[in-house]
Parts: sequence; structure tokens; C-alpha cells
Amino acid sequence: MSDITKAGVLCVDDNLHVADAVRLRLAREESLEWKGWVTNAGNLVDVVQREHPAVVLLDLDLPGRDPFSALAELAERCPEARVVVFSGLVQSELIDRAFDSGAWGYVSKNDGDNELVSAIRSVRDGNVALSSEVAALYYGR
Amino acid sequence: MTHPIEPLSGSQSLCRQLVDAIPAAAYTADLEGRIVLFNQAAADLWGRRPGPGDRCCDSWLMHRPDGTVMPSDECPMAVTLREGRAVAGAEVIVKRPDGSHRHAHAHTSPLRDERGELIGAVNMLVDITDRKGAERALADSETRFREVANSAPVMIWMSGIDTLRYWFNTRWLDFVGRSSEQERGEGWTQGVHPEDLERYLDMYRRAFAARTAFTMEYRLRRRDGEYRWIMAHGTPMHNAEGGFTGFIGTCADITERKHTEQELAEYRVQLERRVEERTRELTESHERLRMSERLAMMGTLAAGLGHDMGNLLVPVRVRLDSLAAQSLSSQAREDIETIRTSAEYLRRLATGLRMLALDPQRAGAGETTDITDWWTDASGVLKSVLPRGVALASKLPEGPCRVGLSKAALTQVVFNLIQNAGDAMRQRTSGAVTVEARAEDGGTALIVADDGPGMTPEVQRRCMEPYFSTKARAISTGLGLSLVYGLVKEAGGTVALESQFGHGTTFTIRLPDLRPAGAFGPAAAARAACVRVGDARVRSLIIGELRAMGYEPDDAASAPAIVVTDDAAGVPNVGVPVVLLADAHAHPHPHPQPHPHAAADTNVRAIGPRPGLAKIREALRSAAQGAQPI
Repeated sequence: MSDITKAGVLCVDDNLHVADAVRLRLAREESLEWKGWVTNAGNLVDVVQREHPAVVLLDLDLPGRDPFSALAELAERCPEARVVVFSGLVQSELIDRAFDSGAWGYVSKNDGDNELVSAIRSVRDGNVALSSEVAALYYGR
Repeated sequence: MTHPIEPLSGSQSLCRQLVDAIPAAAYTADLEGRIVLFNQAAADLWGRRPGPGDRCCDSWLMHRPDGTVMPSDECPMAVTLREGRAVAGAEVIVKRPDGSHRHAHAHTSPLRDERGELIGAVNMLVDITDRKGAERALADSETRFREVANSAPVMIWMSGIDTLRYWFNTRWLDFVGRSSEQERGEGWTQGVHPEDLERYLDMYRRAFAARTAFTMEYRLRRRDGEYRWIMAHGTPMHNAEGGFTGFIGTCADITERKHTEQELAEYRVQLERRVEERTRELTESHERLRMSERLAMMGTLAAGLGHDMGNLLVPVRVRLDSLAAQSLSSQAREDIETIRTSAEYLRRLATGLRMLALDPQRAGAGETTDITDWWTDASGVLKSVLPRGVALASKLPEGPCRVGLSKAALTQVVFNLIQNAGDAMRQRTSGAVTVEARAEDGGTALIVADDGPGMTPEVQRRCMEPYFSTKARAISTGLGLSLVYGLVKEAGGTVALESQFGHGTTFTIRLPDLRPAGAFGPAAAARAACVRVGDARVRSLIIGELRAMGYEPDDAASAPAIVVTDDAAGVPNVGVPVVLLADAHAHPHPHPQPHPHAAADTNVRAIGPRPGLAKIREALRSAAQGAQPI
């Protein structure tokens, strides 16, 4: 049984190495808890309703269901699970689309694991989070 | 056989033999005009045989040449009998009983006895009916020819064997506006265009000499003074015996046809030119398509590679961190740092590859880039295109230096310039390419300079043209510099080129000033922003935007510079710029609900429900600009 003070994190990424690295990194954080990993967004709402993660890390380059549509559905049906887009794709239009679909954060895979952890914490605390590469692009316009 | 009407005396017998011997119609008459002897030819001419007592001049009708009835005392025989003189060659028309007519020349002579007394007359009638018919046919033919020639839709002339023209049809005379007398002989040559006359006469005379037909085009002056193009045909004429009698010529005004031909020729040239242009366009289009397919393929490859590298670097770095957290020997820590440095280099390379692969026109609209940050990520990819031995150096400003190009566009601009420099120095074992950025009046100058071989004036002039390339390598698209030019121009900048053959090339890109940071925001004294939005996520996003604009969130501020709220009832009525968000959850209105003062207060901007971030950003900037005067 998980510690209720810990924020659960669910990872949606088709790359095993990335997911495993996130699992490994979160293991070093006392306030965060690894809730598991799914390779696509097909049944994301079901998984979230079962696992109750506080934060969902969502890759944008996924096989199967369009991640934006899954994000919008999740924001509508499970607003307590806050989604952080975790992607190597950093483009203005994608960032706008992610936030308009209900994302709480957007982290570039290039910005390193520390920024990811920082963003998860920030989102858990109720603040929107952008990693440095994303913020530079997003607010630099 | 002579046919005596009465029994013959001796002299009459002599006379009869004489009449018989005449190879024409002949007869004799006594003083009373009664026919005494006639031969068969006379009977044939009259178409009857005279009976006893028939008088030659009043027993049947005779006519004058004009067709009128000839009185009996006027007929040649009557004259001879009356006046005792010969009548030679008088023309008469003999009417036969069957109604037909014969034309004849009458040659009458008086007959006298031994004493010289007139005893009668002899008449020899030469039948000229056939000759008269031929003459009439000729005259008719001539008349018909003139009629036809004058009504023909062409101009006609005729000349004798001496080349002199003696006849022109009315169409010719009407055309030149001159009389037949003026045109006759060589008069017609006055209307021929001076530039064509010698050529015309030369051919005319040669055709006459050779008795061969000729055709030529020349200009002839019309009655209104305008020279018209004429198509002339000349044909030699011959008489029945085959003798050459001169030339007949026809001429037609072909000016309109010449104009049409000229227009057609021009159209043909235009058409050929258009076909050539279109072919060239199609070839270029095909080439563009081929190149764009190749570029798209390379872009996909670079994007995929960059993305996959970025993905794989996440576990590499996490595991390095994990290792570093353990108790390790100093050597192991040193190894970890070396791997970390390599991984960081790979990360930048991956970022650079992705920036190179993005379509700058789609991904970069409105983006700006800090050159120093960008250089950190992009320099790895940029260096990779230079030959070994050629260094990539940078001279960048210390502080922030932001330009109005997206990272992708900036990468592709500089990449192309460095790639060109690298290509120019491919044979060199040393050299340098320098990327420099510096602030200038009104903007930023980005300079890419090399110490390579430079460009010839011709290459300098053409290097910005699409598909112009000096490279033989297969990878060349010829699009590099035109792409640079297009991207910079789109960002409002300029590209200048300095190159000296043998002494390197410098490209200077000048980009206009961006609006300074906080341009949308308030003066320093009025930076407080009041954000009263229930949705924590949206509130947080708005605060991020406001901070980027130079505001500081302060919900407790007594005099905020800007208010963002989702509560229409809570809009302060103090003339402060307000952005009112319709809260779709709390107030599911199909349309935004303006607050009570909205109609009169232009400082309130109502948006929603569920406005997108772009809409919110736009409203915040618009409101902030309204706040400037405060």
C-alpha cells in the first residue's frame, strides 16, 4: 500500500529505456512514487482511474491513440490527475495545444531529469510548469 | 452547172461558161434586173432557185449590214444596172426562204454588147457568213474577257512582247487612282515602292526573256498614298499559232494576309517562348519537387535521429546520476563525468538535428531566439559540416541577444552559410569560419565569415538565385542561399555579401530590433497584476504570461496595473485594463458575459468561454498596451 503523502506518477511512453530511467530517477525522490508505465494512451483514463496518480507524464510521440485527445479526455474526466507532457518535441504549436487540451506542464526530454522532477513537484503543488527549453521558446515569443 | 433561165444565145453561152467558172455565187441579170444565168453556188447562197421572171433585187428581201431592209433600188445590182458602173465589195445580207441569213460581199459589173451598150450586169457574191461569225465571236470573246477582267476581284494587266503594258482592268486603275493613259507603257512603275522596284523589274524582265511565269510580292501605292503588299502573278500569252504575244498579270492585295502572317509569326514566336518558359518552369518544378522530396527525406531522417537520440539520452543521464550517487572511486567518477560530457554533447547534437529538421516556416512563426543559448545547442551540428582542419569560432555578446528568428530558422540560416563556407574550403587543410553576433543601431548583425577562396563577381551576383550552385557534389540542392535569403527576408532582415576572389567571404545578416522585454507590460512603477481566476491551472499559466510581460502578480495590490478575472461581478470600476475570462465550469454560458460596465468601458476585454492560450495571450497583450499610459 502506498504512502498517501507521496504523489504517484504514471508514465506514458513507448520507450522502455525512458520509462525505466524515469522510474529509477523517481526512486530517489521521497515525495514521489512510481505508479507504473503504459506504452500508449489508448486506455489511459481506465489506468488513471485504477492507479490514481497525481501526475501523468505523457509523451507526444506515441503509437495508437492521439495523445492530445487522451489528454483532453483525462482533463475532463480525471481532473485530479495532472498531466505533464514529457517529450523531445518542443514547438510552439504543440505547447499551445497541450495547454489548451488541459496539460499542467511541458518538459523537454533535453532538459534533463532534474527539471522533470522539479516540474512534477511544481504541478503537484498546483502550479503550471515549463522546463527551461520550453519556457525559453514559449515566453520568448 | 450554170442554170439558164431562158434559151441561150451564142454570147450568152459564152457568158454561161464564164459564170460557171467563177468559184463563188454568181449570176447575171438583164437590164430589167431579171436573172438570166446563175450558178449552183448562187442557188446555194440564196437557198432557192430563181424562176422565170424573178428579179434579183426585188423578188426577195435583202438587208443592209445593220439588219435593216435594203430598198430594191439600193441593192448593188440595181445600182450597176441603173448607173452602168461596177460596185465592188458592197456588203449585203441575203434572207433565205427558210429564214436563215447569209452575209455576202457583192461585186457587180455591167455587161455591154459590142457597141458598148449596157445589156445587163453580172454579180459575184462572196459568202462571208463564216468570216463574219468568226469576227463576231472574236469581238464577243474580247468583250466577255473585258467584262470578266473588269469584274474580277483582282487587278489585271496585259503587256506586249516589248514588256510595255497596254491594258489594265478597272480594279487596277481604281486601286492606284490613275488613268489608263498614265499607267500605260512604263507608267505603272511609278506606283511600285522604291525599295521593291529594282527587284520587281529584274524579275519582270527575266521572266519576259525566258517566257516563263513569275510570282512575287511587292508593295504598290494605293490611291490614298498607302503602300499595300501585292501578290503578283505573270503568265506569258500565246496566239493560236503558239507565238509569244506578251504577258498577262494578276495582282491581289495581300496586306491583311501579310499582317495576319506577321501576327501569326509573332504568336508563334510567343507560343514557342511560352512553351520554352513552361518547359523550364516544369523542369524547375520537377527539380524542386525532387529536391524537396530529398530535403523532406533528410529532414525526416534528421528529426527521427534527433528525437531518438534525445530519448535515449534520458536513461543515459539518469543512470549516470544514479551511478554518481553511489560510493565510487575517483577514477570511476572521472569516467562518469567524461560520459556525462559526451552525453551532453550528444544532447546538443540531437537538439541541433531537430532544429535543422523543422520546417522553419511552420514551426517558427512569431518565435524569437537568444543567440547565446542557441549557439550552445547548435554549434555541434554546425561544426559537423566543416572539413577537418577548418575551425568554427564564435564572437557572441556577453548578455542576452535575442533575434526575431525561430531556433529552427536561425539554425538553418547559419547552417547553410557554414556549409557553403565548408564546401568552399573542402580542399584546405586549415582555415576558420567565424560566427559573430553584435548589436547595431536598430537591430542585430549576425556575421558568418570565412577565410576561404571567395567568390567571383558572377557567383556573387547569382548566388541568391534558387538552384544556382557551383557545387558538383550530389548533395547540392542549390537552395541553400536562396533559403537563407527567404528566411531572413521573412523576418524583416537583410542579407549582405562581401567577397573578394581569393580572400574569403562574409555574409552579414541584419535583423531588426525586437520589441524590448516588457514592451507589452507596464512602467516599472505600475507592475502589479491582480489575477482572480478560480482555475489554478489557468491562473498559473496567466501568471507565467504576465511575468514574461514584466508584471508581478499581487492580488492584494490596492491599485493593480492590470486585472485578470473570471468573475464578471468582481470587475473593478476604476479604469484599469481588465481581461475577463468566462469560466465555462462556473458559468457555462454559450457566450461570454460582459460585466455591467463593459459596454462603456473599453478597458475591459471579455473572452471565452474556454479561451485558448493564444487568445488569452492576445487579450493580455492588448490589455497591457492599453495600460501603457498609466
